Parts: sequence; structure tokens; C-alpha cells
Amino acid sequence: MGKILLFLLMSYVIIWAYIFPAPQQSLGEVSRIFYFHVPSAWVSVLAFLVSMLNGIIYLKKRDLNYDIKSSSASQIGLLFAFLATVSGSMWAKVSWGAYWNWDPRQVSIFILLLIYGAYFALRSAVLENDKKAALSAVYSILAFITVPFLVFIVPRVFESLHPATSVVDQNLKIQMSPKVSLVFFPSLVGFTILFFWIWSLQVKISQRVELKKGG
Amino acid sequence: MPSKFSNWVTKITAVFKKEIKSEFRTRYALNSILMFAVVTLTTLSFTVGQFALTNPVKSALLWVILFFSAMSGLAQVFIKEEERRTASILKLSALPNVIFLGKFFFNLVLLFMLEIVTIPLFLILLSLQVESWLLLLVILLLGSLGLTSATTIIGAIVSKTNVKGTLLTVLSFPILLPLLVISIQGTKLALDGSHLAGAGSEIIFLLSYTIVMLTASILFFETVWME
Amino acid sequence: MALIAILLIWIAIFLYIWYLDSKLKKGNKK
Repeated sequence: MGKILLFLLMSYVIIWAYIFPAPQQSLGEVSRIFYFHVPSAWVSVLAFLVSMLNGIIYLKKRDLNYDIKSSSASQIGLLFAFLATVSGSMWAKVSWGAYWNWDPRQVSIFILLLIYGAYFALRSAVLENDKKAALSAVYSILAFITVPFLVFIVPRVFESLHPATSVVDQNLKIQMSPKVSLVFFPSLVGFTILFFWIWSLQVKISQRVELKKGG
Repeated sequence: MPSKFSNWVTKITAVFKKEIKSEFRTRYALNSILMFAVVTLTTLSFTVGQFALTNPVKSALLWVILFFSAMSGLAQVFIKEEERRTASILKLSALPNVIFLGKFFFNLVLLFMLEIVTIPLFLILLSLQVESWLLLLVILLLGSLGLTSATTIIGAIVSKTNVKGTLLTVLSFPILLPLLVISIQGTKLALDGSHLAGAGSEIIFLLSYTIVMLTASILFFETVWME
Repeated sequence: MALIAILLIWIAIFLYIWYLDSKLKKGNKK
């Protein structure tokens, strides 16, 4: 089972590596970051969703395994959100001249980072496992329902300050050129598979740790 | 059934009255909120008041003050129950929904009292020209409702932890961000003199935010309360 | 070149994850 997935991943990565030499968007070599930056951001959001869903299941079934799944997903989400923020600001530095630009996308990924931070702050403030699990689950649900509102306001508020996103938008909306799609979508899929793989590992590790503690 | 509903309302009022009474004895939450607001306002007016601030900046300052004042005072409703060990008795005496709404309205009143003091001071100290009073009041009302609804449920969550203080701010900020941003925009529009219609989208946004937050709060409060 | 560097990093990460994976699987068999 795992092996097949592993092999797929390897081949995807090698594909990326070979297509590297092909010319990317108008911004030059740096735009290759796009293939890693956007999927990272996607994974951080996916992780948030997975975390919240497992939180809901925990609330229904009160099985601590679901809390382990939930917090593991959040850990990975935090990592990828961080990676996305960093890669994004690197891209920003080159294309727009500064690491931070109050660009809508930069702001939204930063807010996601804040939500993850808040989530772990909450968890560390509670000692009892079941309390921790329940409170975390409720908070992640609250944070999740905030997301539609955030999505609404961020473009409204920040768009007016920077036309900077238009470059990205052009490339995303005006259909990616075939060459770019060839690399981008496999990257997206690869990152997603990577997420689920790392997630299952993290869950197993955490379960072991919990077993040891219990014993 | 009308009698059931009025029964329900009576119970919520009972919780609400209890909150007011116990707060009135010590005035702890009210004091901390007012002190915070006054101190912040004074600091601002001394340092920044002399400069010509633009309307967007003034709007932002107002809501920053409101946000942090709320942080300093609105979590008390639940924390004091835990600290004074009255939580268990309270759990037995009423349904979670009733308790939540009673405390919610108490927080709302607390916030309103804060605003009654703060807004006029704010207008004077920062020499604000309000072109559209009605809109300002509407935004304040809706924004306060939203602020209170999010803060109350998060306050309940925080009351169950060991850390309390700063945790409320850390947890509330991401959740309240949309509310704050739109309230600030709405306030700015009010200062500029827009009609109610001109701020239509802000009003609808604030209204939906409040409704969503309240619904979610009521849905999940029992879970949090029973931990 | 940057390409080679990134490839190497990826291989390193991948091998590390694979290593963890097999370690966990061994643990289960016990």
C-alpha cells in the first residue's frame, strides 16, 4: 500500500525536477517557487479542514484517537503554513521588492498561522487530555466558521493597497499555460499525498507516545 | 407554546439579574474595563491627539480600544465562576442555553456601559466630526453584538484552562478579525458621512457575523461548559 | 546548481520519512 504511494511521489518529484529547466512565468527563475508555494498553502488549509473534521468526530465519539488525529493534522498544517508564508515572502521580495506587502494572500496565510498558533496556545493551557481535546475541537470549529468571513474581507480591505496580486491572478485566472499546469497539478497532488502520509505517521507516533504515557 | 418561551425568557432574565447583582457588589469587571479604556484614551489623546488624524485611523483606534477593553473585562463572567467555585451549582440550576444567554446579555450591557463612557470621550479627545450619527450608532450596535458573542464563547473556553489572561486575546484575535475590520470600515463611513445604504454591505456583514457566532456559541456552549 | 540542491534536499526528506515509516512498521510487528 504505502510503497505504491511512495513510488508515485518519487516519480512526481523527478518530473518536477526535469521540467525545472523549462522557462517559467515572466518573472524568471524565481517563479518556480510557485510550484511549491501554492501547494504548501493548499496543504496548510487542507490540514486545517482535516483537523476540524476530526475534532467534530471527537466531540461525537469522545475517542481520544480522533484528538490525536486532529492535533497531528494541525501540527503539519502549522508547518506548511509557515513554509507557505516564508516561500511567499521570498517570492514577494523578488517580484514586488519587499518581504511583506499587505497583499491579500500574504495576509490570509498569516492569519491562518495565527489561528494555528492560537490552537496550540489553547492546547498547552490545558492539562487533562479529554478537556484539551474538547476545547480544541470547539475552537477549531469556531475558527473554521470564521474563514468564510475572512475570505470576504481580505480582498476588500487589502486589494486597494496593492495591484501586486494581479500578476498572480493573471496567471491563475487566465488559464495556466499547459506547460505550467503539467508541473503545477502534479505538485499539488504530490503535496497532498505527502500530507496524508506524514499525517498518518505523526498519528502513529503520537499514539505510541500516549500508550507509553498511559502505561 | 407561549408559556414555554416566556418561561425561558424568565430564566435568562434571572441569570442576567444575578450577574448584574454580583457584579454590582464588586464592580470588578466594570472597573477594569473602564480603567483600561480611560487609560488608553488618555494616552492616545496626549500622544497622538494633537496631530491631524485621518478618519480611517480614528476608526481603527476606536475599535482597538474597544477590542482590548473587551479583552480585559468580558471573560470575567465565566472565570469568576470557576474561581469562586460557584460553577457546579450554576450547572445544576439552569440549562446551558439559559446560562449562556444570561451571561451574554450581561456582557453586552457591560460593553454598552463601556461605550457610553468611551465614545463621547473619544469624540471629544480626538476631535471627531461625525457626519452620519445614525450609521455610527448602527455600526456600534452591530459591532458590539458581534464582539460580545465571540468574546463570550471564547471566554467560556478560556475559563476552563489554567492560563486565562492573555489566552483570551490570543484566541479571540483571529476570530474577531473580520468583525473588527468591517466595523472599522463602517465607522469610517459613518465619520465620512455616508448614508445607511452606503454602508449596506458592512451592515449585512456585521449582522450575519453576529448571527453565525451566536448560533455557533449556543450550539457549542454546552460542550465547553460541561468540561 | 539550485536544481541539484533542491533535488538532494527532497531525497533527504523523503528518505527520512521513509525511515520513520519503516521504523514504525517494525514496531507494530513486535
